[in-house]
Amino acid sequence: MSDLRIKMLQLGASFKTTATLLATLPLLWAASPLIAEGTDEASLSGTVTYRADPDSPWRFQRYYVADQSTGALAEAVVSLKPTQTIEIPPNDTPANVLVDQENFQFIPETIAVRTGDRVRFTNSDETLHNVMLSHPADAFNVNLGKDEIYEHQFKSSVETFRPHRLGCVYHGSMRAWVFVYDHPFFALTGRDGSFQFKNVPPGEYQLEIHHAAGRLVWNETIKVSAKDALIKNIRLTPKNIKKRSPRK
Amino acid sequence: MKSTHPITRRHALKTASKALAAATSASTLSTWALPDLLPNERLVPFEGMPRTGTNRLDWESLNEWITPSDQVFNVQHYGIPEVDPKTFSLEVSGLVKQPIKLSLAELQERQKREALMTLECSGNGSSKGFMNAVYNGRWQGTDLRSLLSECELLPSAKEIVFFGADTKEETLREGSRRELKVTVPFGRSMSLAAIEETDPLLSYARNGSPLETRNGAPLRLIVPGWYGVANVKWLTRIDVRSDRYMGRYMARDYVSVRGERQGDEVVYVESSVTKIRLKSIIARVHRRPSSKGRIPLRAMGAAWGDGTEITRVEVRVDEGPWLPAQIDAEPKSQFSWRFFSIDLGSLSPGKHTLVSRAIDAKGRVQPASTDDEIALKRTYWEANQQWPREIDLS
Ligand SMILES: [Cu+2]
Repeated sequence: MSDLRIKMLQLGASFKTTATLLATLPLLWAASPLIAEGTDEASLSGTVTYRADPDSPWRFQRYYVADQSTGALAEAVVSLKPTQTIEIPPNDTPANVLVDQENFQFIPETIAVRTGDRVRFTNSDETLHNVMLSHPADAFNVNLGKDEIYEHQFKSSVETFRPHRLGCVYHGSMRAWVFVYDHPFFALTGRDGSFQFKNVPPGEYQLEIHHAAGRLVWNETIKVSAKDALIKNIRLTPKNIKKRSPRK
Repeated sequence: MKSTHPITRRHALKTASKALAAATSASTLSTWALPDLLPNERLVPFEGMPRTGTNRLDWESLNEWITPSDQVFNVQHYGIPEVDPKTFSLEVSGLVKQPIKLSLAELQERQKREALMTLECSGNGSSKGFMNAVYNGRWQGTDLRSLLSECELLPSAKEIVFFGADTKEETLREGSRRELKVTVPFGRSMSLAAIEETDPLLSYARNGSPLETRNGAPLRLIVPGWYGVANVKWLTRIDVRSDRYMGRYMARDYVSVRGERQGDEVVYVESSVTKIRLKSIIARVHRRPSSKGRIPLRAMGAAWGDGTEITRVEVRVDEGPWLPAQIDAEPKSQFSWRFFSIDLGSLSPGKHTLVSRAIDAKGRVQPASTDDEIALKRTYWEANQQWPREIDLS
């Protein structure tokens, strides 16, 4: 990110920040207003699907591909990473996202937010849970009894391929991922696998997909020209399964 | 080399026969698997269960007898130390005539042996959030008992302590006036008698590959039939002592507190976690297309314990009778899990509860959570209670 100097756009036309999230995250507890579009800006939309191969089974398929005939992939984070300076509007309307702990699982397991957004953690189980994250800028380690709440405002952004991994100290198999961006060009796919970015300034980007829970990764360079309405349907296969580091 | 301790006497013979057994088993066991879904079958998801991530056993996709590495758990209490295999050494100290220090290469040059073993964390099964910490592996290494014999244990030797490279500052009597902070290595001990009985392995490889760092590289102890905590990881020192070692993980944690009935009274007894308790679990349920309004089902799963032969596995639907499951004849290895399967006939649509229990050659029956063995247990270790599976056949 060192060559990306983000210039904050002051007031005026602002971007739709959380509308894409709204479409896919049923647990948002505050909506943000829809906002007017810019002039030269383009749009990019599409779907993420997974094509299974019986010879290389991906055991997470049963969680994230509801309809085997379409292969639509849920809970993948899709993002645009600018390769040059672009104007980024400030996060004027921070989102509030809910993450519950129920049946010994974070629900949802994966969320994507902008810096300044707030995430509210709750616990619906009878059991004592905990939420913890070790990170220099965003660290917490909080016990949550039944119906207790902890809220955290995320301050620093992460790379799509290095999201925050949250855990519960009491239950090692509980985990959640938080993708934090300093721009609005990210989306979390729903059950239909779709994503959409509006008001994209023309330029060159890395289109990146990371399914953290299912360990799938994909990326490609794309060029966005003024007023484009790009459609990108991306099909992942077992080749996109991230290799484990052998000795860890 | 002359020895002063009985540990040497029976050793040579036993080792030779074990090496042979391991060599034959390796070739016959590799291709075996639980049956896959048939073309007309569908996996029935379990209700109210969390998803299974990486480094956890995924019960619903269980089909390999030897667990793939990305489903192998790790639990550690003092973090994961990086031990450089080049400078690593294993030291045997204490009540021995011949203390010894061996590099990894020297350990690998010693007579090789294999141990097939299902390794389970003693907390496994204590909650929905912790019921995937078990796996079956083929461990390669060298014999512990022959190494101890070469060190010539003194007659006073009774207890062998295994120390890892992982250390932590522990606080004893926290908050009291006698609070004490002390940095200690992770340690667990075994009596000499227990070592004779279990014949542990000093293991540097699993399934033919060097150990993973998170699983104890470069060297860990493997104690067949004992819970994971006894299988000390990042093993660097073996200390021979005359008195009981009372480290945190022998005397304070991994201590089960269990009520025992003495007449009309319940007396609470604290005991250190050692042998794996008899257990079984339904891993998968398959359904076929319904016929005349009923749904044909079969279930399969795994059963394991401390090495005592598992003679029966039974499955019960709702509050019905216990039905005998078929235990697969092969693969079979004393300290490894057995796979079982059962045809459950046809069930009505709607919600059902399926549960399994294992019974061993000593007549022990895997307890229900309401049985004294579990209900009077006040700590979470040794969680071998039956694990009911909820399904919805609508
Ligand atoms: Cu928890």
